[in-house]
Amino acid sequence: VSGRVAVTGVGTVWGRTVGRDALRHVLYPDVPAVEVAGASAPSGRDAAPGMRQMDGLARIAVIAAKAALADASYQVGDDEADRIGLAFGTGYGCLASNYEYLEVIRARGTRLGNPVIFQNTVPNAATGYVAMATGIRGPNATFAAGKVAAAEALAFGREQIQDGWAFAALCGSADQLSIPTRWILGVQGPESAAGEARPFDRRRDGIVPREGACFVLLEDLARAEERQAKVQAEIIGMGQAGGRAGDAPPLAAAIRAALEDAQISPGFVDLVVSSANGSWIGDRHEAQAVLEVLPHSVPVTCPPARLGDTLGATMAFGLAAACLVFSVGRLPAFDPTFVPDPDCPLLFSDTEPRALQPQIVLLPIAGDDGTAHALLLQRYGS
Amino acid sequence: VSARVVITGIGVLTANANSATAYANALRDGRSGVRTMRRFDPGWPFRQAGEVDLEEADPTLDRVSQLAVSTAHQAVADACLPADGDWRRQAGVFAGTSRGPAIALETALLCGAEAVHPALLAEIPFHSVARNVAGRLGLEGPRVTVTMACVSSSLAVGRATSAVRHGRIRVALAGGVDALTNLSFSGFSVLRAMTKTVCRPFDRRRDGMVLGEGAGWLVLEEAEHARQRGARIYGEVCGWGTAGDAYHPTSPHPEGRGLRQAMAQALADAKLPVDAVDHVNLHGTGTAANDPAECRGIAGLFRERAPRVPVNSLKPMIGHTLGAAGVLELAGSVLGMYGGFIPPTLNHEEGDPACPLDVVKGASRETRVDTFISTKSAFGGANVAIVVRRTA
Repeated sequence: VSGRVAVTGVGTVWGRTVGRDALRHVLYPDVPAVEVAGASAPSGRDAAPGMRQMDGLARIAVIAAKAALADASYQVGDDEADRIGLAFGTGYGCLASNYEYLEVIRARGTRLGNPVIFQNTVPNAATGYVAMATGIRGPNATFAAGKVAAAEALAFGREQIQDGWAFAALCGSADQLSIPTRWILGVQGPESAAGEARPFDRRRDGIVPREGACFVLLEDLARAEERQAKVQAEIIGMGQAGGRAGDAPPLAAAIRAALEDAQISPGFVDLVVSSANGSWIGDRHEAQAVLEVLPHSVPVTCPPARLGDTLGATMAFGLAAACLVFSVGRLPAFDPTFVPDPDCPLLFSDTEPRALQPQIVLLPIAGDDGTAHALLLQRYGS
Repeated sequence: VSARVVITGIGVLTANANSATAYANALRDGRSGVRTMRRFDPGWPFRQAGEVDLEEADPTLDRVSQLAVSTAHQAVADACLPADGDWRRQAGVFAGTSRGPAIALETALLCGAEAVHPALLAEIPFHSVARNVAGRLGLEGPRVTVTMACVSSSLAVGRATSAVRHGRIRVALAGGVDALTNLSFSGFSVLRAMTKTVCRPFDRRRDGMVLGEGAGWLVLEEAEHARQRGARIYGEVCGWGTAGDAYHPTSPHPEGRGLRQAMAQALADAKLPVDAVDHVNLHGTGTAANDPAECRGIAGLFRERAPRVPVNSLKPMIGHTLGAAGVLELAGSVLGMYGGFIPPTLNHEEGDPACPLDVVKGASRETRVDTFISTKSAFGGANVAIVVRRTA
C-alpha cells in the first residue's frame, strides 16, 4: 500500500437524479445527461422490495453508495470485504423515523410502536443497510455532525486506508428533510423566502435546504493503479479545528491545518469549492477565512448555488463537483444575475462558464457544532 | 507520529454510581442500580431500568447534555488537569450517543414545537452533546460525534485514541451518553428484546435486556504529556478495531463474524497476541441472539482457550446504557484492572451450553489483569473492540 488516497468513484442522489453523470448535467446543463439504467431514486411504495424496510435516509444512501461502486467499477469480493471500510455521515440522521415512531406511540400508545420503524431510529441503520447492500464488512463508522458530517466520514475513511486497515473505503453522507429537521434549521437561521440559493450574493436571504446523498469510493492509490481504476482525484490533506463557544468556527485554522497536512503552501491552491449556502453571516465568514489564508486571485465556485444546502452531505457533494471540474475542465456557471456582496470579495466564478484546469482544490466547511474542516484535492498525475 | 495513549481521568454517572470511585466500589461489591423507574411511566408492565438520579439544573440543556456535561467535569477533575490550563486550547471532545438529546425531540412532539424553549430545539441534533461539553468546559480542539447505537462511545474512544496517537492533539475527552426515553423503552419492548424478570447475560434462563441511562468520559492523554505533569495513569489504550457484520439491521451475525474481526484488528493494532488477553468485557445484553453470537466470536478468536478467559457483562448492574455502554463498561474494566479485580456478571447463575465461557459471576474476582479487551456490538451490524493494558 502507498498510504496515498485516491478517489475512484462518485455516486450521488439529488432530487430524482442518480449518479455522477446526472450530477454533471445538474452542474453543467449544457452537458447532456447520460442515462443510467434504473437511475431514479425510488421512495415509498415505489421502492424495490429489498428497500421497503428502509427509511428514506437509508434508501438514498444505499442508492448513492451503489452508484459510487459502479462508477469505480469496483466489485466487493468476499475475500477482501473485511478490508474495505464504510463511513457514513449525516447532519440530522434519522429524525424523520424518530418523529414517525413517536407520532405512532403518541396516537396509539407505547405498546403499538412499529418495530420496523424503530430499527431505523438510529443513524447507523443507514450504514448497516449500505453494508448489507454492498457486502462491505471492514472498518465501520457513522457520524452525525450537522453540516460537517461528510467531512468526518471522509476523514475516517482516509485514515483507515493510511493506517493500513483498509484497502478502500466507501465514504459518504446523506440527509433527509423532515419536520424536526425544519425545526432545527429554523433555529439556526432563515430559509430563503425567494427559494433561491444565492451564496455570496448581496441579495441572499437564507438557505435552500435540499435532500441528497453522495458517496465516494476512496482507494489506496497504488492498489487503484494496480487495478487500472480511473482515478478522479487524490486527497492530499485534511484539517479540522475547534473553537471557543460562541465564536464562529475557526475555518482559517482548519484550512491551515489541511495545508500543513498536505505539506503545501497556500499559493498552490488554484480553486476553492465553497460550501457557502446563502446564509448572511456564514457566507461572509467563509469568505473572510478563505481570504485570510489564500491569495486573492484564487477562483471560487460554489455547488450549493445550484444544489441548495445538502446539509451533512455538503462536503461530499463538493468533492464530487471538484472531480467533475477536473474532468470537464471548466467551472460551472450558475447565476448570470449574480450581484457581489462587497463583504465577500472573492473571485467568484459562477456568473459565466470559465475554462480552468485546477491542480489543487480546497474544500472548506464550517459546522454548526462549532468546528471547521478543510479538505485538499489534487488532480491525478499533477 | 505514533504516540502512546493513556487514560488519566474517568467520569461516571450510572444508576449505581456518581463518580469513578463510587463506580469502582459498586462494581467490586456487585451492587446494582436497577430499580423501578420514577422519571416517567413507560407504559409497560416491566418498569425496571438503570435510572440515574440527576438534578437537572439547566433548563436550556437536554437531560442528555446535562448528564454529559456533569460527567465531563468529573473526568477532568479526576485527571487533576488545571481548570484554566493551556491544555484546553487543543483538547478534543469525542462524543458517542445512540439517540442524542432525544428528550428534547420527545418534548417538542408531545407539547408542540412552539411550546418548547428555542434552546431545546437547538438541542435536538446529535452533535449538540459535543458542542455543549466543549463549550461548558472551554475545550477548543476538534469535536467528533459518533452515532452508532450501542457502540457509539466505543468508537468515540477509538477515534480519540487515533487523534492523540497521530499527534493531532495531546488531550481528548472521549465518551458517551444516553438517557432513558419513551422511544427506547417502547422500541426495545416491541422488538421483544426486554426481559420480563432480570437481565441474566449468558445464563441459560436469560430472557432479555434491561435498559439504563448514564454518561461516561475518559481523559485520554498522550503518555509523555501525562508523565510530564505527573498524572495518575489508569491504563494504556493500546489498540482498537471496528468491523461490520453486513448481515441484518438489528441482529448480530450468528457466528460473531464482525465481532471477531474487530477484536482481531484491535489486537493487531496493539501488536499483542491473543494469549496476552487476561479478560474480556463483553456486550452481554442477555438477549437470545446476542449472547451466543458473542460466544462464537470469542471462540473463533481464542480457540481452545475461549472457555478459560474470564468474561463479564456489567449490564445487570447499570442497565444497557446504549450509546454510553461502550465507555461505561470499558471504564468498569479499567477501574477493575487498576483495583485488582474483575467485576461480576450479576444474576448469572446457570451457564448456557451455547455459551461455554468463564463468566465471572456472583462476586467480583480478585485477580491481576494486565491486558483486557472490551467489545460492543450494535444495530446496523457494527462492532468495536478496544484493548487496554496496565502501564506499570
